[in-house]
Amino acid sequence: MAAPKVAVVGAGVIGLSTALCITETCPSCSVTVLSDQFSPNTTSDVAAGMLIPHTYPGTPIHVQKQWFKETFTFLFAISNSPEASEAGIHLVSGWQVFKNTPKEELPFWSDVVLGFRPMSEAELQKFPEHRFGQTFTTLKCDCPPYLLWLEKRLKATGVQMHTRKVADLWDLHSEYNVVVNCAGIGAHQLVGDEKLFPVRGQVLKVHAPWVKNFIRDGDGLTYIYPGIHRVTLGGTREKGSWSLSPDPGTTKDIFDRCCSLEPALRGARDIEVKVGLRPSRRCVRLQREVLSRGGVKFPVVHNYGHGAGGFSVQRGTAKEAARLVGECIATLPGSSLRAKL
Amino acid sequence: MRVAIIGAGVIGLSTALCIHEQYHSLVPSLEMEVYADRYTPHTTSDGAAGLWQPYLSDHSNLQETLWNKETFDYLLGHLGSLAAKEMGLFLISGYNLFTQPVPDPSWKNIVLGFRNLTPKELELFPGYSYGWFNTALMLECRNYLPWLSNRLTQRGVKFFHKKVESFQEVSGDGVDVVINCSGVRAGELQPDPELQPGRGQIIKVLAPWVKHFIITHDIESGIYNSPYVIPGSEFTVLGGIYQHGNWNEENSAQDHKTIWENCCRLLPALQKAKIVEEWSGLRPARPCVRLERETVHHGHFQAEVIHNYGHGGFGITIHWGCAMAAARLFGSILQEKQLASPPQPRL
Repeated sequence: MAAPKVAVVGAGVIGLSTALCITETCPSCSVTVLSDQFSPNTTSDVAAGMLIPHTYPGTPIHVQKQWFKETFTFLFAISNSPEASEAGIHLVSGWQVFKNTPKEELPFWSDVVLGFRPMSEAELQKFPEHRFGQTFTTLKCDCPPYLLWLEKRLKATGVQMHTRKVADLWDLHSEYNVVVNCAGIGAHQLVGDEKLFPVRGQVLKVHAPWVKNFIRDGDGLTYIYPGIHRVTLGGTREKGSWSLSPDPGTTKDIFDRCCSLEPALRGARDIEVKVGLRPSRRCVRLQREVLSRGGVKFPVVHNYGHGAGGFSVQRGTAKEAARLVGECIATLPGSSLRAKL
Repeated sequence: MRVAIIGAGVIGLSTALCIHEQYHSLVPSLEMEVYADRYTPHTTSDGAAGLWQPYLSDHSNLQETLWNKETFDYLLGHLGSLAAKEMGLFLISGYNLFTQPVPDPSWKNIVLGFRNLTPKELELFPGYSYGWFNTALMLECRNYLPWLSNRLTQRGVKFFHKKVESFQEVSGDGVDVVINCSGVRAGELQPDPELQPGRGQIIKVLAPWVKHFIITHDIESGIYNSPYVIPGSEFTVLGGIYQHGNWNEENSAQDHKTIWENCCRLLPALQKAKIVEEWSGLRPARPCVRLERETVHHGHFQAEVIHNYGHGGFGITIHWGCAMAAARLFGSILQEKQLASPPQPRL
């Protein structure tokens, strides 16, 4: 058969990472990214892009750890290369502080990030309201630069990108052999997944370049993540809210909470407010499906529902999705790749 | 009582402020003047990146270690204040790298979270097999010196743009106490063969993705002769030059090449950084800081001089401890002149 044609729906961190992995595992494939939004208008662009995993209740921990490890290793190598600044990937150190000592003092990812250890008494003095803390060094993927860099890498390998709103995956069955669904929160409408729900996050992006360390409250609600040009202040976790409009009361609340953690933020300028809907699910939907109508079959690989943890598992889940794409291709009629798997 | 401070770098201005804060209410007649041929942004202090970090070894100079600690604690106490941003003060974490294991420094318990580097962290720095991680402070003089100047101006301290040629020049004019914070050129006021320039050169770049300081060490070539990268609030400073005895304040093309190549090897991402400025300066190097009193005579006049110079490449690191020590010496002068009651116990 001719080069298999793969469509990736979605151009956030998951769509672009998945497209990249597919070009690596299936160099003969023709890959096209289709999305109604590209950077800087994706959900990923709102996120700080910190590599601090979110725990999915429905996925075994060893799998999540493997995904995180693959992602961390991949990004670590780029952060250490001349491309780092263009890719928007950089190391950042800081503190995760808790008002009450957490049940699990050692998260599953503590040996993947760098230099993880409990905070000393002296370090905790900076946070009078908190009794326990952890300090470590991790990576941050600043968006838009990171997404734009992924797009550039994809274009260099011949991947096409088109702005297109896909209303139904079946619409693509005549143009493509396999479709990969990385539609994020869009999957709610696209495939009618009732298990997928938004968790609304409002953030502020501010100018405060003297803030060099991240600070995160272990409750996940208040965080300060210094990026290349702006510091992301957060946030909210509003389950079930679909509103993309910034709320002024929330803005003030976020700013106050962050200043309380880091008084140096009081001098912050140029506050920009953004809202994103985390595409949340008990577990990432990472599986094959075959759509079938009138005897015609159309293989689909789903890779969505990463919620608050997309950046942290982007590479691991993308590799698995690419592997599933490989399986789909091998089962296509007339596939010469069947023997290779 | 007239007090003249010679020098308007970090040492001169902080000593002036420390003394004024402690004694102006005790000595209503206190009049303070600052004399300097260079003011911010043209002082030696302005060229420093501003990282609080002493040298690796204190040469058993426990006094200096204590002054370093006093400075760190003083600055740490100001971190949460509204003044911090204006002072140019903020926390920063980073790496010290070595090609072999070394003993822990005297300041390991002064900084926050001091620890050895893990093998995975060392992978970031090929060629280095040992290192430390800690959180310290940055105090950028481009902000701190103007902040000190503002505080002093508010207190009525007068500033004169003048090169003082001798102590007698000011003491003969009726000044009772001279505080000598003249840095690398103190030898022009009074010969001091122990004071030598430690010439440094730096390149300022735009590299806002760098969030950590990285200081490498080469035991053979000595302190600051090995590349370092220190991110400020706006620019990142690249350096690694220390030339003892070199008085040349001109930028050297050879040194530029050394700094650039070494720092880019250390942090490949720097290759894409835009160069904004180049600067050379003379660290006022001395085997130990000269912080002591001296009575200087000129005909019938005599003046008390408090020397506070020779802080090498750690002036910012040690400045407040020295300012406090100088203030204590000032207090003893006042006592002798019976101008103030015995000093209250104070830190």
